Amino acid sequence: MSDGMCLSGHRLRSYLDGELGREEHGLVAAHVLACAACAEAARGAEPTRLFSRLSARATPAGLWEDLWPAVERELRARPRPAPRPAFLSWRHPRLAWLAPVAVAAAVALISWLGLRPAGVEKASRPADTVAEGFVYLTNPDAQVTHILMPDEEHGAVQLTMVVDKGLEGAF
Amino acid sequence: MDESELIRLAKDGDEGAFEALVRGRYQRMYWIAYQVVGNAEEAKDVVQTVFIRLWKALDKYDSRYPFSTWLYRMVMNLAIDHLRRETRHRHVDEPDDERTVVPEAHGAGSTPARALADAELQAVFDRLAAGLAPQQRAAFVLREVEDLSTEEVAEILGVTPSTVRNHVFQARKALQTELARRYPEYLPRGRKGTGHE
Repeated sequence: MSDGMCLSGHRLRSYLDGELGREEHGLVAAHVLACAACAEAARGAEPTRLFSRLSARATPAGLWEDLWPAVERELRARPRPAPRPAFLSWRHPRLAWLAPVAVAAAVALISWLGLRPAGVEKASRPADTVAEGFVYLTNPDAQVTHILMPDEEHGAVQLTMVVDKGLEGAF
Repeated sequence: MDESELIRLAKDGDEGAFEALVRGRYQRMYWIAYQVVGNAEEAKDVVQTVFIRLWKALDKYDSRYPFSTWLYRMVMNLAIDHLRRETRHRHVDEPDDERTVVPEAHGAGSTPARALADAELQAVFDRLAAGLAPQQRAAFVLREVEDLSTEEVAEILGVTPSTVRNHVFQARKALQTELARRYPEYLPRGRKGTGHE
């Protein structure tokens, strides 16, 4: 079968797929006519010729009516969550600047709090959850505790927020 | 209303827009599913499931990519899953020839003779394609029956174009062999099986 001149599988596939240029297509077609082995391989195109006719088939009558009612019931049972108005989204072009500003404001506030611990009531330490050396700042009426933690590596202050148990379900 | 507008409205929960969006594509979705699973009822199941998943997942659609590719990928993934499950059961339960259910009544524009010829051809394909690996069958259906480009098929199946070409090539070869063995009357004269295929 193989005399070293047969088409490679890739070239034959490209020929069958109609992906060759006009001149090369002609050369390959001539080879396929002359070479029994390649002609045999190219006959694999017959299923393509035959079954491509299936694409022109008409759809079964009443298909949409079969499909849609059940889907519609399902959609009604699971309405899409209402989208957030665009003007409330951080991704809205007009509000995009707010995100970095908010972060900067938060950092400034935390730094200020950290520099003025006397201005904030020092909370009792939840001994079972946190190690020594941390400072807890909390407002007695608030339900969120701020923990100021010295960062040994960078000498900066890192903030973590702990939600009181009463609020856990809300998050 | 164009497709991007329908998608935007559907994302906002507009059921009418969603219905219009899928109504424009359900026929092709059905045929892609059908050609892969080989059964009308299962194809309907696939399409209905895709509709519902699509409704839930529309937010994840990235408009930089063609909507059709994303949609057909969902169809194909589900159809292949169905086919794999079905193939496992079929090996135990029944021969594939006995389970082929060809869709019957056809829509407008199809003569009875044409419908019969199509139904026969479809039955032949269903029986022969049952011997293909799911990925080969999927690639053949999208490339040769649905006439999508190799690159589109690669996107839908999540493989490289080279893998698509290979799947299609192998599918053609297997179908050709089985066609010659079981249905030589469908081959042109002079191209019938030689017995060693």
